[in-house]
Amino acid sequence: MNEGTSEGDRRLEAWLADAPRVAPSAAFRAQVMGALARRRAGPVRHFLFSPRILKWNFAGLAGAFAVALLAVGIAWTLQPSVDPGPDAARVVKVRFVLDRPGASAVSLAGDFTGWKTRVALERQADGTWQAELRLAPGEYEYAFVVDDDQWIQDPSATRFRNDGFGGRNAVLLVPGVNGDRNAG
Amino acid sequence: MGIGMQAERVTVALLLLTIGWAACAQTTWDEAASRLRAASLAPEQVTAILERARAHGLDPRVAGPWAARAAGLAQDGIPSAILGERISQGLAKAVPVGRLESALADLDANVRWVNGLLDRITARAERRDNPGQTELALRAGEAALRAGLSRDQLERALGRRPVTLEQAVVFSQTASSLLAAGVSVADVIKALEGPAKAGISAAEMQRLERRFVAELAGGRTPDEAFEDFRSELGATMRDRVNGPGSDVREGMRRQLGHEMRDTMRETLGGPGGGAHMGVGAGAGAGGSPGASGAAPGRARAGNR
Repeated sequence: MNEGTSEGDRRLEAWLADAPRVAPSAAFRAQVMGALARRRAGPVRHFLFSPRILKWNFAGLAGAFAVALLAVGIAWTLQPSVDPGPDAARVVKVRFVLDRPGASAVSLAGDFTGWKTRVALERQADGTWQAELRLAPGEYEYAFVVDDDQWIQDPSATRFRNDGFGGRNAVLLVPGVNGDRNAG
Repeated sequence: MGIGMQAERVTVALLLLTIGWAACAQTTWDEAASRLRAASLAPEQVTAILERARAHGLDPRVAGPWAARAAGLAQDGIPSAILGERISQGLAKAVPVGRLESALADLDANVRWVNGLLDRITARAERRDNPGQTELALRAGEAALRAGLSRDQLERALGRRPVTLEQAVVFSQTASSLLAAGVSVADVIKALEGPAKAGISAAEMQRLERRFVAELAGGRTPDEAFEDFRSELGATMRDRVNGPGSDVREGMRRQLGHEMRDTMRETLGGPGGGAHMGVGAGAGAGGSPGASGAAPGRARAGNR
């Protein structure tokens, strides 16, 4: 029995001696150290301070990137869309009025809108159309657009200028808060 | 069965053709956008221009000459945004392409001429140090020409003498402001030429233009407002007989400073140099360019 055991021990010893030696991975060390730490520290301390190994692959990375992108997009969408406009401290409110009771829509376009007809005037009870804009001090050319395709000059403007295409634009001069004008 | 297969093949071919055509068209619009952006037009301006051009059913190739013109301006140091704005306005007003191109050619020529005028009458160092003010002077000069002044008349309105950028802006704006109210070209030149030659400061002229516009908004006729403008200008000129005020002396000091910097750069061989400036009596003064009064007509402007 002893002989058999000794023979077995020797064979095991020889097998172990010939077996390739493998260095433990960093993860293994971390796990061991983590287990040791768990024994010494409380669960909160362990949770906060025990070392961790981040395992990653490209799919996981792409997923994380997508989530981050989505979060940024949502934050961007939800941010308040307040545009203080140019030189917010000096902008001046300007009211535009057009007396055109028969119109079904009136908008305003000028160099302050990049000539986009995106400022819609609101119909008032008295039949006039009005809009209020906040403009920085300066000189502007503008026109009204009635029913989406009829460009007309402001009939109550006092100054007009050739628009370069054979028509005319009304000219608006917005005074500064202290009477001055933006230098651009 | 033969007819069915043929119909199927024709359908597929048509589908492929449509996809191919759409892809080509998209590529061409993309190319147009790239060319306009390469001509220093802002991306949002390019987008707006091309959206309108597409909405009007224009061929994307129409943007080629626009891009070439804008690139030419940018190459000569002139902000191409001025051209982009005119394109936007023309497309918004559904101006036919031929007329739009003609208007752009006029704008191109005028703004280049104003640029040359500024080269002659303002200090290079001042233009280089104040690109915003230089752009404002270009716009003001172009607007004055569009308002009805000839090139020679604009030069006369600026006094045919060295001026500061502020003076160039304010005198041009005052001229176009008076013309926009219906004052005749002859009266405008007559009113501005003398004060410009005498070197009335930008601040003084700005004050008078602001008052002119305010009077119009207050209900006075253009003739009445212009009479007041002339009378006030005359009084200002008479006051100047007693010698330049502090603002004028400040203008002279600044003008001299710009000229000295130009001269030093030329002497040392550095960049810039070359503006040939004389120092006129009472050249320029402080204060923001332009004048303002009240908004015209029923476009009411007020500080809140």
